[in-house]
Amino acid sequence: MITNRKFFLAVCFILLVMVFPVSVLSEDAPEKGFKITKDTVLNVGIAINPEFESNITKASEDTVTTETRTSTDENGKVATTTTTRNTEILSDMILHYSPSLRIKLDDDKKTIGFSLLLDYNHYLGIENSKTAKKLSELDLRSDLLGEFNKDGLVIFDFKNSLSRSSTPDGQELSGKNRNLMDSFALGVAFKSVEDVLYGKIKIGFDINYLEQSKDNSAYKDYNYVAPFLDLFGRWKFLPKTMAFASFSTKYQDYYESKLRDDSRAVPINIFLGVMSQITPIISSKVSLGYSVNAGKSVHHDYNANAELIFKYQDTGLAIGYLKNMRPSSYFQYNSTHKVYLNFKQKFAKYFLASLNFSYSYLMFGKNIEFSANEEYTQAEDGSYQRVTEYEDGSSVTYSVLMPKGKRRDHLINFAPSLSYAIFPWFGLKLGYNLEYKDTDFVRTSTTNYNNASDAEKNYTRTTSTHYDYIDHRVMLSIVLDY
Amino acid sequence: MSFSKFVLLFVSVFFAFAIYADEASTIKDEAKGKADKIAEIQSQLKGVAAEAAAAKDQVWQGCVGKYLSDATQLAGGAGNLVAQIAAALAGGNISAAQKSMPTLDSMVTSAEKLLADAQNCERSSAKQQANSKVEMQRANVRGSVSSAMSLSSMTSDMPTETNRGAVEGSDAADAAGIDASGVIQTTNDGSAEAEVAVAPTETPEDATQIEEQVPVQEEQSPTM
Repeated sequence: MITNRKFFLAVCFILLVMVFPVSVLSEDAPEKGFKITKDTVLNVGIAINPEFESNITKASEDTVTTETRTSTDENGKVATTTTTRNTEILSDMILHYSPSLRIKLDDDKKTIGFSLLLDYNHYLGIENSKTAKKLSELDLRSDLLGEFNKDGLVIFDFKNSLSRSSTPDGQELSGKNRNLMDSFALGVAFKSVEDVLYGKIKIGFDINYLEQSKDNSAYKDYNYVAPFLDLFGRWKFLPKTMAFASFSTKYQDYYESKLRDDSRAVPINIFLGVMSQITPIISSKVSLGYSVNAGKSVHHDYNANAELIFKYQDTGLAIGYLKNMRPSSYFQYNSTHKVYLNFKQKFAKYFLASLNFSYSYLMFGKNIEFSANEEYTQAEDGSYQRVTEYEDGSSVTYSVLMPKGKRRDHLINFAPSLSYAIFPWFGLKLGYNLEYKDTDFVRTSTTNYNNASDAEKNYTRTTSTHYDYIDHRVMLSIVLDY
Repeated sequence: MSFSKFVLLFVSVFFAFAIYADEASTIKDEAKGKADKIAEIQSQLKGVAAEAAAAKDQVWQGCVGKYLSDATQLAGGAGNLVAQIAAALAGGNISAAQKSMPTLDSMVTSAEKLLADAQNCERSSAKQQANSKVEMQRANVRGSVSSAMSLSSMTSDMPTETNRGAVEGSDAADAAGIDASGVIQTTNDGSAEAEVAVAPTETPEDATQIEEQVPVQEEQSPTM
C-alpha cells in the first residue's frame, strides 16, 4: 500500500515537473490554464466560500401550526388544549468547498469541451445542529459539448448538461430536495458565406428527477421528461443591426405523477426581434412574441423583451424588461413580468463593483393539485378532503384549503458585490444578496384524527403555510482558477 | 592585315562583348528581383505587425515582431549581396557573381517561410481572455452587434466571475442572450456559486416553487 502511494506520488511529481514548465513557462503558454496540446487547454480551480444565510429554509414568519386535543379529567370534565407554534426562522453559516476543471480542444474546425464543478455545501449548524446533518450535500454541474465543421457553412453540435442541486425541502427542517437534471441537445446550423444569414435547428430532451421520489411518492409529481424542438434564425441586414426569430416547443410529461394527464404541458414560445448597436456605447434589443400552453386548459399569452445596454470603457449598465411563460407542475404554467438592472464598474485596474437587481411579478395558472386526484373530494368551502379509515374504526380526515383566485407572487432580488483580482487566476469576492417574496398564496392543511378506542388520542392539527419570506445572504468567495 | 580580316575581328569582338554584357545584365536583374521580393515580404510583415499593434494583442505582436526582425535582417543581407554581385560584374568577375546567386535564392526561400509562419501566429487578446482560438471565433461569428449587447466581456479577466462549471462553444444562436430554448435570457447573470444552487433550466422562482409545493409529510401522516 505504501509502495503504491509512493509510486503514485512519484508519478505525480514527474508529471508536474514535465508538464508545468512546458505549460507555464513556455513562450506560447496561455494566460490561464495548462496547454496540453497546441489547441487544448486545461483549467483547474478551487474555491472556498464561507456564506451566512439568515433564512436557510426560506420560511415565512407567518406560518403557524395549531394543535387541539381534548382530554377528560377524573371528574368527567372535558378540557380542550390548544397549542400554537410558529415556524422557526433558521440562520446558518455554510462553507462551500468547490473544486473544478475544464478542458477544451479548440481549433478552426472543431471544439470539444468538458467541465466539472463539485460544490460541497457544509452547513455548520450554528443555530440548530441538525442542519449540518440534514442539509449538507454535494452539488455538481457538468457540461460536455462538441462543435464540428465550424469553418463550414453547415455546423453540427451537441451539448449535454448535467446538474445535481439540493435545497431545503420545506419550511420545517425536514430534509432536502436533491434535484438531478440532465439536458441533451443536438443541433445543426446553416449560415451564408458572409454570415449575413444564420439558422439553427436543435432537438433534445430534458430530464428532471428528485432523488427522494423513490421513497416518497409526493415527490414523483415533479419528475418529468421533456423532448424539445428549437428553431432560431437571424439576419444581419445592416452592419450594426440584425433581426432574429425563435420558435420553441417542448412536451413536458410528468411521467410518474398521479396528475400526469392534467399536469402534462406543451408550451410554445415565439419571439421576433431586432438587436442594434445604436452608437458605439449604446445598444438595444427589442422583441415581441406569442406563447401558448396546452395543458389541462389552453392558455394564450404574449412574450416581450426590451433591453438597453450602455458600455463605455470600464462601465457597463443593462436595464431591461422581460415577459415570458413557463410550465409548472401544479399550476400548469407561470407567466412572469420581470424588470432588471445589471451594473458593473471596474476601477483601480484590479477591482470590480457589481449590482444586480430584479423585480418579478409571477402569475400562476389554476391550481390542479387535487382536481384530478380521485382520493380527494371537494367540500363546500372549496377545500379538498381525503378520509382514511382504519380496521380498528379509527379515521383520519386530511383537508387542504387554498385561495380560490389565481396565485400572484412578487419577488425582489438585490445583489451588490465587490471583486478583487489579485492575479488573473486568483481573486476574492464579497457579495450580499437580498431575496424577498410577497405572495397571496396561503395553504391551510388540517389533519383530524379520531381514535376509535381512546378519545384522548384525538387531535386536530392545522397548519397555515405562508410563502412570503425575506432572506439575507453574505458570501465571501476565495477563488483560484488557473 | 587585310581589311576583311579586320572587319571579321571587329565583329567577333563586338559579339563577344555583347554576349558578355547580356549575361552580366541578366544576373544583375535577377539578383535585384530577388532582393525586391525579400523587401516586399518585409513590407507585408510590417503590415501584419501594425495590425497586431492596433489590436493591442501582445502575444500576436510578440510573435509577428520576431519574424519581422528576422525578415529585416534578411532584407539587409540581400541588399548587401546584390551590391557585391554588382561589383563583381563591374569587375568582370561573372563566375563570382554566379556563385552568390544560390545564397540569394535560399534567402528568398527563408523569407517566404518567415511570412508563412508569421501568418500562423497565435492571437491571444488579453481582453477576450483567449486561452484558445474560440473566443476570437465567437467574436467573429456573433458579430459586433451581439458582442455589444454582452457585459460578460468586461469581467472575463476576473477569476471570481468565471463560470467554472460551464464550457462554452462558439454557437451564434445564443449570442447576446438570445437563447433558442424559448426563454430569452437576460444580462442579469448570477455568480458561478448561484448557478450551482439552481438547476440550469430552473429559475429561482421555480426552485422555490418546488420547495413550497412538496407537502410536508408530517401533515399527511396521522400517527406523527
